[in-house]
Amino acid sequence: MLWRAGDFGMVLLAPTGREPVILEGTGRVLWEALAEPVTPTALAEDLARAFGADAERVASDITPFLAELTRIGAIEEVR
Amino acid sequence: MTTAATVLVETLAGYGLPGAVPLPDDPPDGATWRAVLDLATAERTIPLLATAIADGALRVSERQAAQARARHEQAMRLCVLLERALLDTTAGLERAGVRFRVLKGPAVAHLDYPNPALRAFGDVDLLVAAADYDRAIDHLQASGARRRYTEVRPGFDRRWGKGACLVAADGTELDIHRTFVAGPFGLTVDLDELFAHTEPVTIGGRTIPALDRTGRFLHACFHASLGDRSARLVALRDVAQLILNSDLDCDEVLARAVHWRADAVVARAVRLTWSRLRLAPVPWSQWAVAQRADRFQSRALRAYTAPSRSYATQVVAGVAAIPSLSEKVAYVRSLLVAERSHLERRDGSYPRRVQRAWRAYADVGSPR
Repeated sequence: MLWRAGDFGMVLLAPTGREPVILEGTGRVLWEALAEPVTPTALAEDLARAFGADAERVASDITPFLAELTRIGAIEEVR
Repeated sequence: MTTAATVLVETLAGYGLPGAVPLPDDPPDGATWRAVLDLATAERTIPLLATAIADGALRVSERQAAQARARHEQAMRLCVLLERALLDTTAGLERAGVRFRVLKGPAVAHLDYPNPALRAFGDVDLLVAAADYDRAIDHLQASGARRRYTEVRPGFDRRWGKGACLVAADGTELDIHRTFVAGPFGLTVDLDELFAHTEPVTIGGRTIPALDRTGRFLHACFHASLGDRSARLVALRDVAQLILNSDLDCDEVLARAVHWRADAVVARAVRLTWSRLRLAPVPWSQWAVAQRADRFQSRALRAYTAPSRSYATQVVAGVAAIPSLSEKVAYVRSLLVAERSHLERRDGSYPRRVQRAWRAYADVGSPR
């Protein structure tokens, strides 16, 4: 994974990605939370606590994002 | 380009360094701001501008801050794409058995800056072992890269040249170096010594060899002192970054520079850096001001710094750096009796080439 972090957020270029992906705001927080293996449920709960949001709503919001990061090879499922 | 914009961008190039000049309190006006954005982009110092704004050290409007962030993001998009190209290129060179070292941007960004997002770069530079040079070029051309400029004669670059500029199939510019610069100072670098000292750099999870800190500093000085007609601010920032923010071994640097007959190159780079970035004096800058070039270095520097500087003046000046008479003869013969395709593109005819060579010699050869 190739990346840079600055005030603009984060630029990520995954091994199989054609173009860099930009993560801003909560996207960046989510990425940083993925530094260690974590279940989607625990991730949603952590983000909900951090932003004072509803955990179910957060889980629903982050699902497509996690799917996209998986598709481009930025993250992988570990068992 | 406004003077105010130039002064501000030069000051920003020193942002975050000890002894840097404070930034102005008043935000730049509209015309100055537009000039600052364009100049910082050209000088590859947008990351420093954006960081100064984010830190609150430079007051600008919200719109101006957003513009700086956008340019920073754009610069970093290019950096990660270039690092992908670097990893792909070096993987291929490894498979081809070519020894290499990563130079400039990607190396110093990760090894010498606190955050690689502070250092923008625009191409991929690699140093290859002289013995592997032809194999490196053959491999890259077989992979679809093409030379930007023709070689003087087959074998000239491997034996005496700086290297080759190639453009990969995807448009990425690859600068393959045999040494740091064309001309005399490229010929006095001890390439075995340069290759012997390495430091690993990890990019995208892969560890590849770069030059050690002394080598990186010397290359930064060569680039700042001899590279462009007016040194890019990012090159000067590298010089200052390595002096002020790293444990650079002064004795080792000077020993290598003197061995390479290039201590005047280092001194010139440091003087330029301290002057344009307006940094407070330190022992390195005081040494640079007091340093006096010997006759060889003084004449060699003219080939890179005189108003008439050109590739021609540099390669002609290279004669003085070649120790043996037989090799001087071979060097001059290669330059004068160039490959036809090179001759047609550069000079048009042999008499014109000889005339250019004589003019170049006169430009650098006259004693002052």
